[in-house]
Amino acid sequence: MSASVPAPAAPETTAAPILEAQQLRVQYGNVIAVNDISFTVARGWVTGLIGPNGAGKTTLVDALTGYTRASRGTMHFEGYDITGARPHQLARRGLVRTFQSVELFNDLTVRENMLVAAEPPGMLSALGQVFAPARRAAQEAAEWALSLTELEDVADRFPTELSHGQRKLVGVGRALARRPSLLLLDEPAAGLDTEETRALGERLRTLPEKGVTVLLIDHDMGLVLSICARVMVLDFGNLIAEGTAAEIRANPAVIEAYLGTERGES
Amino acid sequence: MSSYILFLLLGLGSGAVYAVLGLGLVLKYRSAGVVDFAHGAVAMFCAYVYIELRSNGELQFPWILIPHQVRVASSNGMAVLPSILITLVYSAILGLIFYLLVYRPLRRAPALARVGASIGVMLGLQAIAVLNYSTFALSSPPILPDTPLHIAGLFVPSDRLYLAGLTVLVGIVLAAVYRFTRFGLITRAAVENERGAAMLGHSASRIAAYNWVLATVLAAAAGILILPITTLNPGVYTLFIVPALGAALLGRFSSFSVTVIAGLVLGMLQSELTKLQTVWTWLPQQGLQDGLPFVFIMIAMIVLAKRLTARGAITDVHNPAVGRPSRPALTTAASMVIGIIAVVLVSSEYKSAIISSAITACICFSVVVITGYVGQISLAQNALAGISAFMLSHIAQSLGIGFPLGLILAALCSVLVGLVIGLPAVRVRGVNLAVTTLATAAALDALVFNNTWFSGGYVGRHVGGPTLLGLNLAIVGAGRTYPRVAFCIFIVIMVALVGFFVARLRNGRMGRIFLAVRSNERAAASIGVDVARTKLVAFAIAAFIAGIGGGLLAYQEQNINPDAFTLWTSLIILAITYVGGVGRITGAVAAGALLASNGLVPTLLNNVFNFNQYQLVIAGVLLTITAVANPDGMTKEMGAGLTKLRLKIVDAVRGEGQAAAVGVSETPPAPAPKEMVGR
Repeated sequence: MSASVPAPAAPETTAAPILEAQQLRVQYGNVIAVNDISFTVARGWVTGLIGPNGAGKTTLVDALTGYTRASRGTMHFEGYDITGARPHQLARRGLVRTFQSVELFNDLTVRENMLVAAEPPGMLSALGQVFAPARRAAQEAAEWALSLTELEDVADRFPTELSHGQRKLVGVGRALARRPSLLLLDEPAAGLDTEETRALGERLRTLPEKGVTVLLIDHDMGLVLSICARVMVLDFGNLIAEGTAAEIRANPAVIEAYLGTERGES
Repeated sequence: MSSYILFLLLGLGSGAVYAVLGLGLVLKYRSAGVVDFAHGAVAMFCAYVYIELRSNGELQFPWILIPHQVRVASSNGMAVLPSILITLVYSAILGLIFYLLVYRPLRRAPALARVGASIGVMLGLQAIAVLNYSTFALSSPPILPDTPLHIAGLFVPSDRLYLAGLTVLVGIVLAAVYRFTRFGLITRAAVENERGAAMLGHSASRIAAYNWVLATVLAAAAGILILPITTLNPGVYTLFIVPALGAALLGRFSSFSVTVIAGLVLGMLQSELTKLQTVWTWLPQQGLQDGLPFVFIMIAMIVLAKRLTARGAITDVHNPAVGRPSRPALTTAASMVIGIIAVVLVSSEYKSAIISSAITACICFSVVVITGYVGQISLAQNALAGISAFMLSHIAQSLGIGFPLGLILAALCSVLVGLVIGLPAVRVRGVNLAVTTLATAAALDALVFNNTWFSGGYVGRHVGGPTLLGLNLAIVGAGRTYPRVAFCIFIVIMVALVGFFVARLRNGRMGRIFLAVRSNERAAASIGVDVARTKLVAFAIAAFIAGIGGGLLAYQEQNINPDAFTLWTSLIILAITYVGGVGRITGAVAAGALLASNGLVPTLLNNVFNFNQYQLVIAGVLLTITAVANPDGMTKEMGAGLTKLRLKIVDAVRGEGQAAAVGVSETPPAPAPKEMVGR
């Protein structure tokens, strides 16, 4: 795929979806944060999920990755029923998320942040390897994530010494080092300047060809519409639109939901 | 039947104290966000202030070496009422001073620093009381009317009922004040949102100070009023904190009414147990009462704990620095060589000091793993060492298994107990975990180490010396010097090996996972780390290390008794490791060498002045100072200098290698992710 293509073509609908949610609902007390939504994410593409602040985007990510329990509905990942699975189980299966609020391991260097994600997470095997050096495969995966995020120069620094933009990238790199088949990015562009956002978009666009399907959650319409083949729009917990970037751009319901909050349109 | 009820009612006395101390803990937590482990110690000290005023008219101060009392009345003592009033005013000032000097600076500090500071105050006050008043138990004449009341065929001492009534009253007043008055509203607002309250013109720290003073005065009042129905002794009084924590915890550190009820019920149940022990003679005859708060706290934890939260509760706090052992193998070898040369050369007094330092360092290593690497506060590590020490004796005597297998089996027994201690850590974190581990250490103290079959009671249990391949490694031999050089070398090698293991642990995959969990549990789960299992494994490893240390201690002592593993010793182990540097192997070594009671430097100092006597005070004061001023511990500066040097060298080397590396990293190895999934 060439970087000059403004928006990728829509994925063919015949391929089996990598992620499928049905009638998913998340409820906190009387507040319904995610309201019975159903959708699929196609393998091999960058799919976008946009919505204004408070639309329920992060809650949806939390539900998909086991951080919040859905009050009803089912979720399937690569054909497996993942309803009720715990976060670490999903991560081991290849469903990895990032956090809006960065959440790095501040006691580890950038490289170690990647390495700990790349290494097999089993505790007992780790105990058996106390006297062994890091596995080569894990080191390679960590270096791969470092180069993909272009963080090699700061690899031996600690996250607290980096700029906010770099820290966001460490978060993305760490998730990549886990070698996910599906990467859920929760507002990766929040807090980045225009140039950083554009560079991030370029990197994300190349991930599917490296075997990583991406679900990009952001409220930056410009970023999402420029790199996503298909886009879903969430508002007040409801899925109000779904389609190609062009369709979303023209959708009156979306325009209404975004009126006044739209920003960064490219 | 009636005697059962009588015992329940008798328990109202101690129940009232738990409840009022619990209320103070709630006040402190709600206003300053601190769980104050020193709350019982403050009550204890104020009780001494009262009793000294009352009996010989002297006002007491919490310090040592310089005169600590001032005569304010005739040596016949003061009347009850003025004594109480002076003590209450005194406690208010004491509370204010502690708040300003210790707790206010820690408002934004991580849980470990807060726990450390308050345990430092607790140890310090307790130790000062022991030095100034000895452990001799004092009693006091009645304060409240204690004429027996005739209720339903029972004669109940009325002071219990008065105490319970006062407690309920205090609880109701506090609940009302917090619910209905402006002061209560502001306190609640300030702890919810400090900045918001500040914008409304209220200083959060001033509000916290008021609450802190109120809590301290209540503690003093409870300490005084309970005097006639108990005996005053530094240790026992200070440990009222454990049941009080149980009560406050059941009240979630926020409900005054639940705290009062829980405290009273706990006191009554403890009293009832005393009765039941006479009926059901199969019950353990000792320590059951002290084990009960543990049950309360465990129930509270299981019922009330929250699971890993999705959003919010983000603590971007600064954890204590963790060392990066640069050349563990070389350092280990060098330590062994230096250690062996030292134990060969020095006099037997210093031989003993070196092995004491090394063994203490070994137990401190366990704190480095669990608290330093994984960030889980365990106040029971020396108790775990004790399990192994006694099991070593049992295994040798019942099964005839000696070193090395016996030591490993004994340490594995510590692991089992360590897993039990670690189990709550799956659900609770931070200060709540510190509370549960404290309760566990208290329960082990009361039920296990007090058990004569297990520990041999005051006599203790004998432990034979280790042998390896026919080599006698025991500390004493026939007519030889004490300690034998072979034993010293054995200890040096064993502890160096444990240190090597801890260093490798830090540098390897396990260490990265540990630090990931310490840094951010949510993020750790997001990359596939099973946080719960990680904590359990860490508790198991730390328990094993503590167990090895306990076993070595048993070899050194030859005859071990429960005194070596009381709750206090576990607190001291945490204290000195924290002062040394809780994230570093050098921190544990410094703790062993500088701060262990029979360690190297104390032995040196003992020849100048009597250090041992002051060890507890010094540990307590240093712990508080470290928590407030230097949470990384004293070995951090040393480490920072070395790291800087190392980075410089690394940068210099990298600068040369850079040119060759360019272009290579541009093509990342990218195998299909499918293959990587599900490992």
